[in-house]
Amino acid sequence: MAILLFFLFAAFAVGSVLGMIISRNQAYSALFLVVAFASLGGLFGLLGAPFMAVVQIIIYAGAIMVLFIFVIMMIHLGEGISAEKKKWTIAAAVFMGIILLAEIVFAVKGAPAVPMAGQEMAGTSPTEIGRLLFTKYLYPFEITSILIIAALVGAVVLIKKREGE
Amino acid sequence: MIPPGYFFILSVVLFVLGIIAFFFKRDLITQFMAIEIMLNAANLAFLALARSSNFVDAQVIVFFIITVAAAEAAIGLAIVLLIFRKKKTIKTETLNSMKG
Amino acid sequence: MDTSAYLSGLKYLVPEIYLLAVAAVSMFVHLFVKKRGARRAGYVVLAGLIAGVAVLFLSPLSPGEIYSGSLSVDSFALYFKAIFLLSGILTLVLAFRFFGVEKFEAGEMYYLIPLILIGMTAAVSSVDLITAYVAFELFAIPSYVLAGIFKKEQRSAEAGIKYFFLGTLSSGIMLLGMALVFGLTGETNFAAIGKALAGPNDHIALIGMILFFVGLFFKAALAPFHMWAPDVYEGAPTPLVVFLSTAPKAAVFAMLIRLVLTVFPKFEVQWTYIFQIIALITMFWGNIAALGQTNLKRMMAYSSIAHAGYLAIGLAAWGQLANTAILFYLVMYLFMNAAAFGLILLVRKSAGFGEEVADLGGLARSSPLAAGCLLVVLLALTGIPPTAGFMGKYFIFAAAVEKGLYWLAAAGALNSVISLFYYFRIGRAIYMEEPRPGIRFEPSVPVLAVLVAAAAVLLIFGIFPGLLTSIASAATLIK
Repeated sequence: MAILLFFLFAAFAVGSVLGMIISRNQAYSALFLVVAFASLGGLFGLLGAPFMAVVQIIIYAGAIMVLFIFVIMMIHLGEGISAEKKKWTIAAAVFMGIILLAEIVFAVKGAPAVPMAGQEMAGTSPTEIGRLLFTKYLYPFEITSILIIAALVGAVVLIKKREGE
Repeated sequence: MIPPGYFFILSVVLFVLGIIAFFFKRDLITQFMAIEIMLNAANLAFLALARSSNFVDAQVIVFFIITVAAAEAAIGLAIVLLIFRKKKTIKTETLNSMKG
Repeated sequence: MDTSAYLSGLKYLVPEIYLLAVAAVSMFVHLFVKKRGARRAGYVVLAGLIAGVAVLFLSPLSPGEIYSGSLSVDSFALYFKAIFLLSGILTLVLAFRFFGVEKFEAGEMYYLIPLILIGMTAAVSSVDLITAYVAFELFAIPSYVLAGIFKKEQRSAEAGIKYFFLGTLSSGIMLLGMALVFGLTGETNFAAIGKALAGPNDHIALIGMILFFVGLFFKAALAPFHMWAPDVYEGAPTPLVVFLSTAPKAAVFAMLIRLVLTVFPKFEVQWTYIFQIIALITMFWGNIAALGQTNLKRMMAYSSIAHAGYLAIGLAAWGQLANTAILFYLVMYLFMNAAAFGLILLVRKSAGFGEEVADLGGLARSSPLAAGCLLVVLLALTGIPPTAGFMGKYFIFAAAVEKGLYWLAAAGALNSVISLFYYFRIGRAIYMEEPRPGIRFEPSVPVLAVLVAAAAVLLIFGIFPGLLTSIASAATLIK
């Protein structure tokens, strides 16, 4: 049952990413991406991380993608933009992709640490995550808060229209 | 149950698709979406690889990555809007005022 | 839960907390002071950073790792924090001049700088994967904003978007590398990862390391991951280029030193080869591309890429000597770059500043002081005694020779010769060419102050390098 769900989510994720690449319209691309993020959320749940599944769907599929769609609405390009026509960039992209994929497949074969056999996946409660966040990872947590201030200030200064402009 | 190795292979496939999409597409918004796919694939890799060793820490890391990605999205979309205001287009090939 | 360890750890975070306070005060000044609020916010930050140097020296060093192995406030981190503060100070001094002339001042830029500095100070002291990532992003993300902040100029927006896209692409690649390294070991602390990696699992850890490094190489503009740098340095506002081309580079080199020492000692053979190749490509690419440039900012962008290549030799010739050389050279690199980009602010056109090499014609006659300082800076950039540029290169090449990397030292020397050609073109324009019509030189006090400071530092440490090398060798991680 779980393995069927895995392949279902995986197919949705890969399929919608392909759809995003093929689609010429950014709004459709964004919607495809929402599907991809939601199915990734499902995969997180299957891995035994229900809290991360929820965060993924709320923040990624919810907040971040809404931001994208807002910007697409503001830009309203009319007709879409066709994909790259220059042959060498496509060749370079495919080449890089194949190299990376081959490397990693090779690495997975040679590495006993990636368990290829199944095992029981117990869920993790949000309490544990919260405790770690405020004890072991307190310092990066504070740094993240500064990052968010900086990002807020940065986004405002880039978009704000001031006098004399 | 499902072997975590499957999740890892899926994450690598998604990451590679993200890289291909980044070089394949010609408008800034979709290219940015391609980067978001790469970040998500990295998240999946974190969770899949740490499944057998240190799963709780991996979840905290993914939590941080999602937060950083949100900040990055705000800045990135702001810069895309700025480019749109200056050029009235977001096609990549119009970014050509510097050469050499 | 025991909170006392967290509270007592706060005293080691004084520099970060102080910088946050500076940013906050500046933010309030910008918001609530009606008259010239933006400029006054900038003065607050400048005063704060100058006082920050004192704060830095008074703040204590931590005994080992604190905050559950998140960071280690050692003398190595302290040395780099001083570099970042200096970089911020030089940038701000030049920024007042630039944005004053351009009559376009975004006050936000002034308090983004201390926020970025917090990211860098956190990055150089972090000994934990997740702290390193978050700190890295804290100095990366706002620097995309700095590149694009000058909205009067279309090239600035383009610089912002190019920096953003290639920066986030590279941090995505770095993240996958981190996932491999973390997934194999299940540890986030650097030393713990290093211990856990000592076992088998070669392939995947090696690929993880390479992907991790690719992200850092991008940020340090090391070839072949430097493609963004010329465009960003040309498009971004000149004083901020001083910041973007020095401080992040120093932070990345600090992170690389910590990583290879604690996380990847097992792959010493592999990363030595990687750094050798990267150093070779970066030096040649930077110097040869600089030969054909006519735009001064673009030429100096390629020159700064080439200098990152010299620094990478220091990583390839790993050891106490090489590390001292890197620390020494980074300070000199900061002053050379500040003067080389600052020089553009002397050249006024009817609107804005002249950015062509030919625009410098006749500078020696109208401002002998500036021309004299620039001569020292150009000698230092090329690596000619008695300047500190020569000493820095000498230490790095000596470290390479000590490790038997004769060919790399020879390639470095050959590159210094190549670089002579384009630095000479700048010198010839300053001293021998006629002034161009429509160009006038305005040697304003802040710009002259930066040039004089740079020339003085380059001469003093060129003649008495021991003053700094003794500090640098005490600050290296390898004892």
